[in-house]
Amino acid sequence: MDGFTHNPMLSDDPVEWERLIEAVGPPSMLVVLRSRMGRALAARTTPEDLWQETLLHAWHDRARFEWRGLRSFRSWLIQIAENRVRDLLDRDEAAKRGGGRAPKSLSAAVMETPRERSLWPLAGTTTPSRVVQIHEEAQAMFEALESLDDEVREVVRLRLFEELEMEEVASRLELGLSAAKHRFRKGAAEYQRRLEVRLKSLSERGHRIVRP
Amino acid sequence: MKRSSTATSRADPRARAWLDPAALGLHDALSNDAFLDALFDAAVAAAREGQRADVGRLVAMRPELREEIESALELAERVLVRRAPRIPQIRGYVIEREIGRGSMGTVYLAQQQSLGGRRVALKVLTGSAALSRRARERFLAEAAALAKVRHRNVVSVYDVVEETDACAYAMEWVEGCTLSQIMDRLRRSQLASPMEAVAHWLAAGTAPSAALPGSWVAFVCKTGIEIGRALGEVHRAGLVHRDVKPSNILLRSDGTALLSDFGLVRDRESSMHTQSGAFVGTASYAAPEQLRGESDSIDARSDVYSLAALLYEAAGGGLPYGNGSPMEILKRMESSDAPQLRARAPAVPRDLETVIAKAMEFQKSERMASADELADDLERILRLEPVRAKVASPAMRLVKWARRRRSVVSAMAAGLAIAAIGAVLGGSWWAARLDAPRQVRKLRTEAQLELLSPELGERAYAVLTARAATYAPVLTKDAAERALTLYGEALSWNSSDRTLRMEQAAVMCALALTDRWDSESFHYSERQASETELELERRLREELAAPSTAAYFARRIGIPEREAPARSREDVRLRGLTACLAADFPACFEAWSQLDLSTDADPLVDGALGELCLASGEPAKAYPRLLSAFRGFPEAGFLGVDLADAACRVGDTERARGFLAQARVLPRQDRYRSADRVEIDLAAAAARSRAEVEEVYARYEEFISGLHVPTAYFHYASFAQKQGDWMRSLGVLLRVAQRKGLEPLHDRVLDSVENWWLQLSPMERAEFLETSLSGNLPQFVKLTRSLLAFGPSTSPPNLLAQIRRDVRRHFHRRLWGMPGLRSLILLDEAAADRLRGDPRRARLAAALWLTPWPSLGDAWVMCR
Repeated sequence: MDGFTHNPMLSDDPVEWERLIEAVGPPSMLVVLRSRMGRALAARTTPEDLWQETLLHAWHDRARFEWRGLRSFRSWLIQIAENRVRDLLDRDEAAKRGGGRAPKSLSAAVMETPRERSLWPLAGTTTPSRVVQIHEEAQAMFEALESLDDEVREVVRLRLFEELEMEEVASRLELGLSAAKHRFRKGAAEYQRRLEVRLKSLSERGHRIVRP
Repeated sequence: MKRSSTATSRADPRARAWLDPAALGLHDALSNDAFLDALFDAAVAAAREGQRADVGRLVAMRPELREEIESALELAERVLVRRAPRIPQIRGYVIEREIGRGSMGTVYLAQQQSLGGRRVALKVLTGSAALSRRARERFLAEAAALAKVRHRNVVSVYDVVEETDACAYAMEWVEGCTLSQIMDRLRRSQLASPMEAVAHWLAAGTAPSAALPGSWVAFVCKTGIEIGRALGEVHRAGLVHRDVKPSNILLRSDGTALLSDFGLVRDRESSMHTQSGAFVGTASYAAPEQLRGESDSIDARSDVYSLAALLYEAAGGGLPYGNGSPMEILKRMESSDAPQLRARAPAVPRDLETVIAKAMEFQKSERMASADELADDLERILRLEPVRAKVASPAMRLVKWARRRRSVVSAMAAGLAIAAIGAVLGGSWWAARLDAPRQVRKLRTEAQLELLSPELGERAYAVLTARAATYAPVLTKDAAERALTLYGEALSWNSSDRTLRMEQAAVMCALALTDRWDSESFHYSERQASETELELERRLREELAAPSTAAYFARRIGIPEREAPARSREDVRLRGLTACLAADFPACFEAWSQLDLSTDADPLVDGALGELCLASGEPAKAYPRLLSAFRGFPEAGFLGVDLADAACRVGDTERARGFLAQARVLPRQDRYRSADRVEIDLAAAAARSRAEVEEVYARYEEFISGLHVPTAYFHYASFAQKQGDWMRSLGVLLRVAQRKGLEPLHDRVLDSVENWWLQLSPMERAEFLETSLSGNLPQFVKLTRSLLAFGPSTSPPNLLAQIRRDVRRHFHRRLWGMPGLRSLILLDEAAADRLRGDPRRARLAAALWLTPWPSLGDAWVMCR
């Protein structure tokens, strides 16, 4: 039902892994990760870097993840990213998790064996064009989302990007369920319209590939 | 709505949900709006899982909403930010399976229905990328480029399909594998006679072809010939491939090589251009001009280079310059030639080594002019004929090496020449004159150190960070005059040294501006330009040929606006230096950002830029600059200290300690004792236990009690913040702002507090509030009271209103009962009322707020 008839976590095939990462929607994940990063953290690292670290960690621990479908996998990735944000913000906590050692970057932690390094497929971004495409899409999504009115933005973000159940969205925002659904429908339509304007605007500004 | 149970039991499980509208909450009692809302939400959830809606059934429920239902379902499909992988539906093709990912889109094995199911490789652009007009244009440009080239060694394009939500093009399906896959397998298997294995791999289960060459080297040559010919055709069509590499070479079962993946192709006629300075390609195979991002100079010879690098790897078993980022690889190329191929693989024929080396020349003018020339020489090798490519003589190799390392070679040559002539001629006068370069260097270094004095760093901090006296010139008169004396002496040894004359002129400009500076009014005088200033402007423009610097100086001394573009790198450098010494740091950044500082070492610019970056809170940018500067000025203690500071701030604490230890014993120290502060910062970086943290706090306290050094306050506050001691952090920030003489920092501090809150993500704010509400509230309240009493120009109520909104948003309803939260709301009201000028109401609100904490007397004081 989610396009995976078998457990993709059991495969070492980079193509399979890449298909899995594409399926979670890297641009939307960048938007989610960006919302997790405060300005101080954003000054030190980018959502793309955090995404790469998240994928490295996920690749490293994939055997331990119990596959229950794409949605749970996506939630797991978000959780990994949140932990990484906490690590970056709180050195002491990270030192404790690391048994008193200074926290090292995930990339250093997970790429410890030649086998791991040889298997690492540069998850989800194998070419410069794809890197650019993801970045541009994420930026357009972020701008479209941020341009929404306050009252609908959070609903759209929580339901569409964070994939929370509508009941939870309503509860978080202290709305009735029907009010939340109404805002979602209206907000999503507006979000899509604004996103398409931005994507169109990108194309009209001309072909531009930035240094990856 | 009734359904037969039989229909239910036979229904596709994925569609089951749509047959049971009640389960989705789509019942008759809903209003039309509510029906559509519920439908849309359910449709989004279903679409995420790859399920499709039964439109007919839904419309049957509300026929009057047919259009709205269809719109809602379509929106639910389009709005998804991720979607389960689905086999795309492309008109005219039946897709069998995915076979790979190209630089744009996914490649599938498909059958072309109109031609009896002919197998094709179908490259498809789908998803949100297909909505982007630019992505579609690029994708279709790739197809058009491929279609321009008709050659047996280039995959053919058969068809292009454009649909609303996807576009695709069908290519020749090549049964076989890529060169990259073959090379990988060979590397892993380490066969002595690889061609037998290669033949089997290419055949993939069918009978191996007998047409394959007997040796791997011959196979490599053959592949090089075929791809060379293909590239020749590509270039004749006005295209440059830009991404020649093993994974873009397809191999048929008979070993025929085909060039594929034109995703990065550049069409000289196209209006789509890569931004200059941007790297496009695969670094390990890219030519130097490609790595430098010189998009205008990438041409056929760049593809020749890439093909040669591919052949090098195939024949030698490894990449010529290894893996790495474009800059890393470029640096290796600039340092030396690639290792000789036969040193890696002795079995490689000498001629092949020569041909590959020729095609991989650093300067593209020295490579073969075309891919066909490369192919011709490869054919000669297979025919055992002499090749046209020639190996460089040792002398020529030295010349080529020198071209890559100009500065090193000229210094070496100068040194050798001086030593040789001095030995021949003898005599103290001659010896002195021959020693001129060393004397000039020494005097220049001394002069530059006057410009890079510690005042630069402190002034930059004041301007860039504390927003203190803006644009007061950096150089004191004494320092400027010392610098001028030193430049004068240097010029007496070498009067024609243009760089010396330019730097001297920059100091003179700074002196002229210092004369205009009014330290009472903190402005530059607007008097008419003096004769001296006009003469200086003329000199810049005419003698030193620095028009943009002259124009900049002219504007500063009030001569009517003149714009003049820079004509040389030296002019840009000079303009930046003049601006820097005038404390016009934005203009300085603007000028120096145009310089390519990665090729020629320039300790003065590196040092100044490093100081500026450090002062503006960008230690990562400052670090490499200061390192370069410290190497150029190894006696400058203050540079060493700032280098240690930058290293500490980016987390390179081991090296920071080393730099600091080195710097402490050097002359030219910073009078603000920043070495001591950096020492504390290092201790802060290493602090782990609570005892160590407390000790660092004590050291910061002691330091700031002795010296008014804003940097120390900010570092202290930042350290406290990292420990989670928000109260202490905010308290320190407020203290720095309350100290006399630091009034210009008030806004900065309050901005910091405001920005601190605003930069927190919702999760962080929630964590902070939870911490506050769970035990720290009295101190939090005390702190916010300080904010209320401080800085009338800022808007504490907005901050508190923001806090309140965040509390609403992120806490559950049950927390509303907590007294602390109620107090926050009341605090907000007290602040608002106070500023609205209703002291009575403010007193009452504050009294309520303060209960059960400190006395009403405090409330009274607060409200007065």
